Amino acid sequence: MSIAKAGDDAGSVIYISDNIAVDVSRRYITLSKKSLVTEDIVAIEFASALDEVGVSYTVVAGYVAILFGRSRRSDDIDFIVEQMDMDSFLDLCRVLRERGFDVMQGDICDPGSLRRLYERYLAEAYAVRFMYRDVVIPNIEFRFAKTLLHKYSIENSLVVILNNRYRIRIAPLELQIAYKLFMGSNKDVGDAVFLYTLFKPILQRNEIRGWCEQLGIDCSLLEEVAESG
Amino acid sequence: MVDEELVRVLKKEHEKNLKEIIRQAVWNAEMVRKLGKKWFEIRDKWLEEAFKRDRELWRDPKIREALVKAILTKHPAHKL
Repeated sequence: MSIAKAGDDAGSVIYISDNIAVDVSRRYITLSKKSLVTEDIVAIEFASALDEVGVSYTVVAGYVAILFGRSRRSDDIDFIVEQMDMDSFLDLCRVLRERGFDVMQGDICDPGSLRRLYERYLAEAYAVRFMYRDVVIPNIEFRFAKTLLHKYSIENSLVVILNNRYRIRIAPLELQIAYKLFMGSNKDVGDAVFLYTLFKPILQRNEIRGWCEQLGIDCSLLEEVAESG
Repeated sequence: MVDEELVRVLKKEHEKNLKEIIRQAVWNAEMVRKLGKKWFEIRDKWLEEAFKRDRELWRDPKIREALVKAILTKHPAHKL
């Protein structure tokens, strides 16, 4: 039985489209589509490696919109990962290497290089980039959770089940939308409006307003979009 | 003042662009809701064709190396 069907029994599933269903109470989104694109494959492989070593994470930013059908590409897929010690990071890199990933700022086969990356980048709150096989774009932007928003995103992440087979965790949609508005570029605002319009039936509007207040931004744009729709 | 006029024109242009982006984003979401699986077939075909075109370029090691350098320069390891 699919997750969506299981949720149906619980009466908490809302269908966004014929291939996207949200189980609100269980915080699952099921998505089915004919094939995976490179963005999906890179993100799923990376997420699987994190799951294998038992590290909590969440995907944020552009790929979340792309995952749900936004018609644009992205240079990177942003992963926020719980803090890890050096040994755990080296272990993760071993798994990533076995799965075909390489690190862009160093040498994934050289423990010395990875230690330097950990000390100079991750421990100092900078991001590290990973590349999958010969795929230069999109690549993975990997960072440790440093801020309260990062930690909230991980602790309250949603599980997306793709084609009833692959799992990937994404940040709460309400926070994603508010954060995209906060970022403010035309591309970010477009993503916020896209996610807001698509998931309108399940979004907690008060929560979006709350995040916007905390980030010090005006979210009236979303109300205008909702009214015009 | 010329400067004020320039700012006014740029602001107007920015608002026009933003309106168009919002209109496109709403349309995109409505397509996902209406067409569902079919929309993803269309969108994914476009994404993969664009990806394959890029990948052809990366087969040249020089271009690949330059691209990696450009990515690391364009996105410096920014502090979070």
